[in-house]
Amino acid sequence: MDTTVEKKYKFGMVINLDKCNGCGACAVACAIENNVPPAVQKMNKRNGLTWLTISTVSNNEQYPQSETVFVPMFCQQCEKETPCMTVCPQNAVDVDPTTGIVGQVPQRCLGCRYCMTACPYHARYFNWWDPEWTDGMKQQLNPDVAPRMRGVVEKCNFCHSRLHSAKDKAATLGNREINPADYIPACVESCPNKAITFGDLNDTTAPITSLASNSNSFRFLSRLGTEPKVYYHSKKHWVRAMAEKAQTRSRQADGIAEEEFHG
Amino acid sequence: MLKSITRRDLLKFTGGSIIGLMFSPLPWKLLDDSAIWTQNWSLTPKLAHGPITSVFTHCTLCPAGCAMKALCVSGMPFSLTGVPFHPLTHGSLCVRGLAGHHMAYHPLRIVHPHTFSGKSEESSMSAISLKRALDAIAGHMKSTTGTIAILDRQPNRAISELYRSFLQQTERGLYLTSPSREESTLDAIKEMVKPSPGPLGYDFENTSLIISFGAPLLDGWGTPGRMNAIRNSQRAKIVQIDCRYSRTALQSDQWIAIAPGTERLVALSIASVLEEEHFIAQRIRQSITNIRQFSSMIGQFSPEKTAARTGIQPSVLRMLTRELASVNSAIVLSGADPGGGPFDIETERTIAAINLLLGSVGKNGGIVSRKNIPGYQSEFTPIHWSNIPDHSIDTLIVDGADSGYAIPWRLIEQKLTNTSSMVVSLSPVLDQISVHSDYLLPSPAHLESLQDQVANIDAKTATFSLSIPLLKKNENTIDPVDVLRELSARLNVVLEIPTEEELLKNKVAQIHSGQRGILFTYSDGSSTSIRELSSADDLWTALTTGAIWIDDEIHQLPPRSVTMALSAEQPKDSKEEPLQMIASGWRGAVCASQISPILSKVFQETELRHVNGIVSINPETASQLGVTNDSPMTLSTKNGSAAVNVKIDTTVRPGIVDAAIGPNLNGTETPAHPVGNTLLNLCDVTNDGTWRITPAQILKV
Repeated sequence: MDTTVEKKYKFGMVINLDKCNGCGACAVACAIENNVPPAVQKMNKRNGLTWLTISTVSNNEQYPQSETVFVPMFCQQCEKETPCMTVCPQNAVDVDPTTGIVGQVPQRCLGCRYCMTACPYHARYFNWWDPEWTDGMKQQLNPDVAPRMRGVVEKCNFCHSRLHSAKDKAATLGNREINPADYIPACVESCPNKAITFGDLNDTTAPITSLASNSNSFRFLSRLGTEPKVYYHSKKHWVRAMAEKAQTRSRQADGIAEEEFHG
Repeated sequence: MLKSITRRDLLKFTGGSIIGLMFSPLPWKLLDDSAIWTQNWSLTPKLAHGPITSVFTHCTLCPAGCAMKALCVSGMPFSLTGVPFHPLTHGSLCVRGLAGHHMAYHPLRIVHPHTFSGKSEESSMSAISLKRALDAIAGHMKSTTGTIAILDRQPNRAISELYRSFLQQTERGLYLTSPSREESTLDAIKEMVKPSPGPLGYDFENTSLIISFGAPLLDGWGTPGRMNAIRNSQRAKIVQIDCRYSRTALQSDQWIAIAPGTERLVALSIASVLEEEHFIAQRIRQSITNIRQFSSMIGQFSPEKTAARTGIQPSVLRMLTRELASVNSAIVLSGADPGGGPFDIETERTIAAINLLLGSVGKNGGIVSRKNIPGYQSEFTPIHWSNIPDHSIDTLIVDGADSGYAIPWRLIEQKLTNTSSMVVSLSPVLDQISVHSDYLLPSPAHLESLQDQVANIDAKTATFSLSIPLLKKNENTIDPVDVLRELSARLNVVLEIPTEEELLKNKVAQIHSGQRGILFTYSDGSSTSIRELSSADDLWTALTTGAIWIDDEIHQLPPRSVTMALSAEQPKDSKEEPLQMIASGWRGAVCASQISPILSKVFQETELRHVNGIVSINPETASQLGVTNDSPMTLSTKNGSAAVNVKIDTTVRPGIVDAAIGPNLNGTETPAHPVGNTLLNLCDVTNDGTWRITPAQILKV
């Protein structure tokens, strides 16, 4: 199914991997903004609830030639053949034709996890446990984002509540279009290295457009043809080469042998 | 009729009913209803309602004191961000700061005075009234004659002056500070320069080259936003000299990998090249009182002579030194890993000496002089832990603030008298020191009380700001000021102790009367000269609604004499040890109670940073030991052993065990389940107060 329709905005991101030092500010800001709960004791890397996860990828050289890059990974906002939307039996995945944002409607989700299987980026997360915050922290939840319940899938939606706020502000001011400065996702805002550029990929004057088309920019698994709207950028050749080879989940964590992986 | 109903008919009926039911709305409606029900059950929290407001304040989680903008719903903060265009933080906030509003509701928060029975790991804690606790502490102070010490974890605040006055009045007081990493090079410079240059800071914005000996410059050192801005501007080249491929090494322009524990040798080699290749200016030579002695001593540490131990090609060090001497301005600093212990005093002095030889002290783009804040006592030289006699402290009061750096309990314990000592903690949470205390008098948590943030630790000028409380203070907690007042009354110490607000208003009045510097206001990003403010009340109002006072810059220092107090002794060679454990951590994340539970996203759910109990080794070392990835092993040192999980990592140097001094997120951190950091407790704490390298073994469980 082709979900491409004429749209006004095409929000996307470019992440400069050479600037990312893996501090995790984006992951924490995302969790606070979107009321993602802290881990329960049993949670680990495989069953955690992180709309934005950061993988550590090495060039596999030996010390001191070894190099590492941190790869923030979250919903890549596939534009074509959006795999999660195609498989959802409940229409719980929705692509907004006016923004290009792939949204998730937890109220419709049955928790079948087909979308998780279909997502080539492992960027969807299942609520295995009831969300738990301490009593005081419950009062500190973002009032603009509804917490999700156990048994549903959730994922990054480019901080949809911030888009709504920007739209409200534009409407209040009598404008039909939002001010780009009013819509900045939490991860972009919090990045201390300014490694993430966010904007409208349809806007030829926006910095993101030239950055996305730079020869050092790439998309993960672009051969699948899903046209992700999240780009990565690195001047290092081995990092760019990794994009087509690997999913960024740790191979060791997945139990895949090196030979098999390259095989 | 009934006889004609067969088993097959029943099965057909059941099957037909099920198929028919699927075409009815009933099952689908039930599914929807169950989804709606789960959305509304009590386990899904209800969101707060009310007006959204924004408040400016400052972080107190570490001495950087970054500015924050809090969004509040009905007065309760739900989001913290940096302040855009802030001259020092550049709008950034670190990960701990972003989630700082959770700290008051941390599961390990203590909101009532407690006493601990016994000092063993099996001890238990029980609630006690504040009066009884204070009576017992004062009684102990009266009945003993030994030293009374206060460990101030964020020195230079207004309360720090009260601590020092209190100790002075008791006539047997000892004022201690946490081992400071940002200021360690500055302290060593102050020690070598006469007369003392006073407060110093780093002029990173105007420097061309920064050489860091192990300091996590780009991973939470100093004011993190400032360091990131320096790196992103690419005005200064950053060279990291480190045995670890740290996050700073990864982000630096050049990483020089050295053998662990050879930082002093590398610094001596750089100094020797400066001398040998005549890079030391005549003006500098004349200011060094022992230049002949220094010249003859330094000759034995040429890069060629030290290469075998440092593991660095002599040409690399020579090129680096030539670059250092050729740039207009350079800064060489130490720092060491937040979990891995400070450098010993000799290493600090050698690194400080390079700055003095280059003439970087008192020069634009180097280490610059800054004025004292009006109304604050002039800075003092902290007592080095190595100068405190063992078993000399009878009463130790540990301030509740957090320096962010690890302190092994072993370091404190060896300074306490064996039998009669008493430890009082003012920590708002159970942490790795407070669980060893006899009395815990919890102070208000982060963002619960008014505090001063004095001079961002790395700033080139003096600064002053206020941390405005965003949360209601728990009524059972006690401000450290009030603890001092109560103890003074019981010990008949004559000391005038105002309330925190009176204390700070007085300081603000003196800053105003100083008529220096500017006020940077957060709401509009404007700068106003202090002279334009008509009264101290205006300054107070501005500071409590979101502003920072920034002093005028002074960079030039009048000429001073320098004594190169460097030891000629060869550092101990630890190469013979087959396996060396080095501890590594992240500022402010040594213990689970120092970070918001939401930081599980960084530790537990992504393994972006390692929790306590993870050790990393090189594949070569792993193969020698017969260890596979993710295998449970035992890490053993002469101080004990601990269960660890081994990760194989190509970025770790062969022969090194990189032990994570991280939080134990699933630990209860109660005396029955001793905190902390089990791996920190395995480190060898040396006489000079460091714990950088410990011989270790990895054994199969």
